[in-house]
Amino acid sequence: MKSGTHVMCGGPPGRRESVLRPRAFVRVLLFGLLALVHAAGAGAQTLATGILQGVVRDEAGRPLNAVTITITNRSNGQRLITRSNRSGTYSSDLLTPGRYDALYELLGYVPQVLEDILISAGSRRDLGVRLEAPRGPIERRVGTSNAALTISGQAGPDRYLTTGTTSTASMPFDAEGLGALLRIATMAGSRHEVLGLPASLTGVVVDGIPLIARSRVMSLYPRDVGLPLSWFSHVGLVTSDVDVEYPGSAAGYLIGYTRRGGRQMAVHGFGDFTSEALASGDQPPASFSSYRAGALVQGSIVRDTASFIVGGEILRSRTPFAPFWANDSTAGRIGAAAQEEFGIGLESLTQPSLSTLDRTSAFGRFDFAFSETSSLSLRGFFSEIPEPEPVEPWTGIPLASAITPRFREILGTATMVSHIDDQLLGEVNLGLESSRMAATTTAGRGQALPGTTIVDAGYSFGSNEAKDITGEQLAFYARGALHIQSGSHWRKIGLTAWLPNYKLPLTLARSGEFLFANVPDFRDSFGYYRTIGGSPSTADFSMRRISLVGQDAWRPNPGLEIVAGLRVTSFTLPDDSTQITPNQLWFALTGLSNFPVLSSSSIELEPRFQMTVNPGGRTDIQLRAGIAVDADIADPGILAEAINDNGGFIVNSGFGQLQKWPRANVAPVAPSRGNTLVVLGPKFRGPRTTRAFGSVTLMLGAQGAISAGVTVRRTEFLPQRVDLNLQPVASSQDQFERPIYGRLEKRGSLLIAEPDSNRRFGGFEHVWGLQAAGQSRYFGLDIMAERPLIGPLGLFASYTYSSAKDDWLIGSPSDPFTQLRPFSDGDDADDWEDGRSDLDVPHRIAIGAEGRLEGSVSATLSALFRYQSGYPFTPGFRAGVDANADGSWHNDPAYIDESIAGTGALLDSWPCLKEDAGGFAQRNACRGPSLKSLDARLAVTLRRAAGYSATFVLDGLNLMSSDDGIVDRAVYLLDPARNLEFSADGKSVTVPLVANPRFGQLLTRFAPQRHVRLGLRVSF
Amino acid sequence: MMSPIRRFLALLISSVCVAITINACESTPGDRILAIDSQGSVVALLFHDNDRNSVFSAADQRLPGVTVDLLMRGATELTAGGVTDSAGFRGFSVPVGRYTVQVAASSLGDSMEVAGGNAEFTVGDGDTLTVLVPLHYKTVTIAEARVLTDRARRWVKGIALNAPIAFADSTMHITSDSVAIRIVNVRPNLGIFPAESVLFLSRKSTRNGQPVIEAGTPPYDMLIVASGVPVPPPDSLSTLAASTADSATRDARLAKVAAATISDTITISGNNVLTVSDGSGPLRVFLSPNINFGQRNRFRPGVKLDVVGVLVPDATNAGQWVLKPRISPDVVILP
Repeated sequence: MKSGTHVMCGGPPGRRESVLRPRAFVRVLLFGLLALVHAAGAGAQTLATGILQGVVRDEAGRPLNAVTITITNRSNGQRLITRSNRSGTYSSDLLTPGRYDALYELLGYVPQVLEDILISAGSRRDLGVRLEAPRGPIERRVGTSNAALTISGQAGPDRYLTTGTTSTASMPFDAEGLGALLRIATMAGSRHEVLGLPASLTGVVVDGIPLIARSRVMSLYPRDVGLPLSWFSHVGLVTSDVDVEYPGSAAGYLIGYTRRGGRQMAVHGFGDFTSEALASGDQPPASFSSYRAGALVQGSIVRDTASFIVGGEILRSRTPFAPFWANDSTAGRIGAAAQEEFGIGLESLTQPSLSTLDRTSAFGRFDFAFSETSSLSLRGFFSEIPEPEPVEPWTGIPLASAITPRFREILGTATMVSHIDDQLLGEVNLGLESSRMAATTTAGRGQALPGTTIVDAGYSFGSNEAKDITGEQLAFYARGALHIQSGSHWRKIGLTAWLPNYKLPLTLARSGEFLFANVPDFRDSFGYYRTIGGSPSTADFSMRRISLVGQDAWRPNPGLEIVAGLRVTSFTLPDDSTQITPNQLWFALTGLSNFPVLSSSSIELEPRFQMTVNPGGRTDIQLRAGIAVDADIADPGILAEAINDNGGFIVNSGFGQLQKWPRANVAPVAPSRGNTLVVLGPKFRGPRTTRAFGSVTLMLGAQGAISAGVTVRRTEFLPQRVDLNLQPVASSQDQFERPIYGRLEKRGSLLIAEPDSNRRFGGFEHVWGLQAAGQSRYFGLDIMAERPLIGPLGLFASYTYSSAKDDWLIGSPSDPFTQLRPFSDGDDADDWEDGRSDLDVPHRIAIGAEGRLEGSVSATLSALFRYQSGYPFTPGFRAGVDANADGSWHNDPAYIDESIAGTGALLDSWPCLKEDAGGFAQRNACRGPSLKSLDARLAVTLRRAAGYSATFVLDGLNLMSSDDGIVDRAVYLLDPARNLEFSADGKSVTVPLVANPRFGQLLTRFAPQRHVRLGLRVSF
Repeated sequence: MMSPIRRFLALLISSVCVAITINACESTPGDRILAIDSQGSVVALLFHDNDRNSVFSAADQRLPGVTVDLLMRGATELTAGGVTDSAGFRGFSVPVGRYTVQVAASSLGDSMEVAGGNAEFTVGDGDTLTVLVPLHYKTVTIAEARVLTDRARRWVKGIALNAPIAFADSTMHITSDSVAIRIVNVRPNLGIFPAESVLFLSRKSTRNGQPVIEAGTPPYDMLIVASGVPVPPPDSLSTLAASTADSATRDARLAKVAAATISDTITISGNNVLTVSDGSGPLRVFLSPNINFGQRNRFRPGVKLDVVGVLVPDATNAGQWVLKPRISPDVVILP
């Protein structure tokens, strides 16, 4: 397809879209610039910095001109000097996050110092100061601490207390990564979802540099796990900020600000240790030892001019878990069968196990103020995670295998800030990030087991992921911005360029998947097998996102701030004509091409608006409301899938006597063959989010603050997956009039579609259409309160009520078979799909408390409690029951039939089923068990006059925890004693069902056990 | 002059409206949906495949007025249907996919069916397929033919036991492994010989209380499928059992009697019938005048014979069967 920049608008695909040629694109950019000039520009805080501003007045309230304000970073002594103007207004921009002191001086007035001013990234601290005329000898007077105003100007559901006085360092989870923050953010959930969207749609920004978009391919781990908390001085979660420089993530951003060197040479060492002797649970834990050791060395190279910090950390974390399989007798039979018949032990599933996380990381930063007005900051990061979790990260299925993904990330960034004059600042950011993931089968650790399901037991184990794959991502990021102060306007104009390159493999070349009706069939290797094979393929492509940003923060009076901004972004997808090999056969059959669908470029306008009001000029109450549109880049994992899967992969499937498990089976035992293919939908693009929010914050002086907020989000153009090669019309129906697309085969508890019977075209198996037509809606109400730790006790509490609906069947992104629609068009399929999201969790609570005793020996006791509602699930059938014969056993809702024996008892126990009695269960109608956790920490610090300190840490982990896991969603099981009954005309089939008394119980549980961790922190 | 606040708000609202307008017009949900809405054309030609070669040729006959349906693979409801025109054609425009043709039996009459079953074909985007739909009469086995209850035409397949000319009565016999049937009204000049696999287009009938099939009318009433096909060996019977066709269970089959002694005098110019017995009972043997059995005066009372032949009901003696040798080697005079 020929390249060209264009704006897509309405009409049939490829015909009525109006094309915006390069000249027109320039006009759009000019329009944006003009809008900036006329509508005013931007404030001078960025993703990495904040602002300290205010008005200096005399005792009579008159503004004071030419007051010198010296702002000193408490950690490194770096100073910035600014002056107030005739209106008394002052502003110091681009302050890196941290704690500052500010000295206000004017000849003839008593100097005033404000201490410990917290500046967080993206924040604007508004501190008004009154200078008094001297009533005696002039002396410096120390002002009151500003620590209490921890969320001043920041209030709202997106700003988290971690930037305040409750620091992550005092919470008992600092061995984890940046994402640990999500544990206290109640608009996030335990699966790292934010605002009802999965973790892959939450961006990660480190020191103002957005990391490259996470794709399904590279997300064997949540990305933030690789970023140790020990690197950061501040972390945050942003979900409703309107600043134009935030790079368009649909859900929000995890932001981290790295530590920086200080004035003094200092060494910080830290270590943690635990073992099975320090663990307890219902069963004796597995033998383990777990440790973390690291050090940070910081100091000054040239006093107040150049500083450095370097650090490293080695983590060998083992978390003891109760046995994954809940039903011991059944688990024992499966384990015995595997051992006796195949010589393979499944002890990791049937006995207490360990969650492993091995991480090696290093970090360094160099800051250099090479003139009074200019500074340079260089940072480097390295992280490697070579060990797997014991469960498949997306599906939660226990792996019981030895596939070892190694994830390695190297990041380098440079930031230069220059105060050109009092009204003009320049900032340049450069970033280079390299990520590499390699998943290989580890020798000597047993076999990598294929995905295996024993249907009547409900148990699945092993992995159907591709083996021996590698992926690489390399991204260059550059940003330049000018910050202009003009009267009451703070404007900024910037240009950002984000240029990632991806080398992504196809993960769908699966290792194989077995279905057995029961344990005897497992022993006999009699069942169903499916695998996808073919030559390895790695998509190598580049994308571009270039944005012109403009923003104006206008303060017409001290109690009102209006921020308006516009981002004009050009997205460039891979050049499809060279990347995707056309599949001529599919095109000839259907007229649908798998190659001419990528638009080379598109333009997105992303406006934003925010208003902040202090009613009546009061500083203790603040109202904030805003709306913003954000467009994100298309998921590179999906593009890689389209490029890689152009028809060269072959599915083999078969049902009957197989070769001995776990050997891969191909013809003749799996004789049905068909090629796979991916077809991108028309106008494929990344998601776009419109977000509106409002909040009210009441500041209680030193006692803390209370804040309440509402967030409404709508995200469009989410990727949907449709099976284009499914028969378009049902061939029959079951006794509940459920459409059936192929011929059903039953054996015991197993019910599958006869291979090829549900395919529209022969020679093709799955032909996945990936279309940007999904949408997601979220409503959230957040209430939070904080009492900062300025006395002996600090406390925060946060509650979120939310509702999330979508027609984007998130399921398990790595398993496309979860994406199928269970009903054909016209069967109210749209109504069924557009329902409760898989990530709808209505209630979340987080409560943290911290108490401190100060003295020569100080002790801090902190605890974190978290509660959330269970995740929803659709009442249906067990894995291995494909009720509608569409090829997937993950997507069929049950028909709630009270005439089936045992249904009545289920309805009495599960009101969610009762509501759907006499019909098909609604999507995600029922909910799994709620989740609770409690962790605590006691830290005792010994200080010595020479600056030495030692802190002994005692962490109590999982003091309270509820089991999470895979819920038995089967309302009905297949009656193994009865056969399918077909009508004479073949138009209907009766599937014999019996009620499942274990409905809603956990089949596989992830139950971390209580244990104690000992730690030591030393500084000198 | 517009105040700064108003100017600010005006520009803000303008930019938001522009963005929303552009973004909204891009949100048309339908133009992002992936669906296969392509169609192809199918023209079905229905013809009577007289020569049973599944190819439309001069021997074949177009079939107008026949109801023909297209079914998408696996579907039980038809996708498209219609009636063939005077030239046997019917055109359809259908969604792409795999299809089979289904012809309404009620519009065909007799026992006509689609030759080779409902073969599957694929309709691609923009295809214009001509699908040949050969129809012919059903083919049945001899066993099925013997129990038919109607007189619809059907092809009956078997191995010829005799040439049509052999018995000079326009009958011949065909057999399978376990059962045989007699064909009547066979044109004597049909070049069929024993040990040939043949198909006869025929109707079921009854003669002398036994099922027979009536040969059709030329030219497309018989096909020779193969030659030199092994003929099942004859049933060895006693003369008594042969005389009743083993209680009528071996009607039309090839039978053999051994060491049977002639008890009757041959009448060369009469009915060409010998009466023989192996001691169990008499059996009449018909020596066809069209077959050269040699000097007929050799067949004298007291002479012992081995005789092979087909069992044919005796038109003059109900319940009795006559053994008819087909070729001269079927009769062997024992020393």
